Amino acid sequence: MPSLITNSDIKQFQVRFSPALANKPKSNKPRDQKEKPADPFESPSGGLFLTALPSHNLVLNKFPIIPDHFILATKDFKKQTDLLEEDDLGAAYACLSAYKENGEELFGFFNSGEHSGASQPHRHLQFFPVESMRSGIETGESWGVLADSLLKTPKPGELSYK
Amino acid sequence: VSFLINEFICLLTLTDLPFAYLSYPIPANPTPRALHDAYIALYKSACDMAQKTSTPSTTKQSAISYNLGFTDRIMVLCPRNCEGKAIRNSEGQEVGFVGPNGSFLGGTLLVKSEAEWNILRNDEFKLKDILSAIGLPPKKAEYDEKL
Repeated sequence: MPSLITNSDIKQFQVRFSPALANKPKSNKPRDQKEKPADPFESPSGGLFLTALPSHNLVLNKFPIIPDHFILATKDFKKQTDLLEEDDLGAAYACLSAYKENGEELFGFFNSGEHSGASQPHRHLQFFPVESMRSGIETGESWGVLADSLLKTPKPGELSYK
Repeated sequence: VSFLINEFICLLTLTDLPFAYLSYPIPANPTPRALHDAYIALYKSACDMAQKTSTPSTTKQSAISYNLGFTDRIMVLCPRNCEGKAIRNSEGQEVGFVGPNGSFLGGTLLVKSEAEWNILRNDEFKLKDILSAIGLPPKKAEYDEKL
């Protein structure tokens, strides 16, 4: 029996190839094992540094996937593989709110663990302005943030399983 | 930081997601505590799904690999099973490897070469293959009803 497909069931994925990122180093592990791996979030400065929050720094990504790809990194070294803490999520939500108050949308993500696509051991969350995510998509084509399309019946504050 | 205009972008449509995820609709003006409680609940459910004992309170290290994706409206946690999948051309030769990070929860998948992009474009089955490889199988409807 064919299943009924509603608009909310359809998920649009964008697949991007960025020639600018083709030469991004795979990892920051030093060739000499005695050498300490470079930590890009230890003391961010210069062109990449945006602003300091109480316990985090906002920095632009050195290898942006899309324009204005930015990062929220802990000021002190904390592990990417440890669970997030209240202040990490509080600072992340402050970023989301700041965009919303400005009439813009923001998407954030966090990668943790060996299978997650994480490449830096220093704890950081990443953000894409949604307007930037739409760049390159032709007018008339529909695309929205996948996470938002997963909002369904559960009332705010309830967990849902899929 | 310079950014080159990206001309390699295509849209693919999936009618359902081939991986398990947990989500939390974020209420208006949540406290950091409420967000953290929700995150921990999603994490613990994901550990159950992955049949891993969630981290005891004495250690802070996550027991699973996962991605978290969020907007001001929703927090989504996806337990990860593997880093990615090799991409093969029609002759079966490997042309690359796609290992998504959490940006896929925003509906964005980045590939590292034009050859990979050309193979993925207009082929939602390859995209589905990658997405089903990286996570856990989605829960069936009957499981939902038990919850």
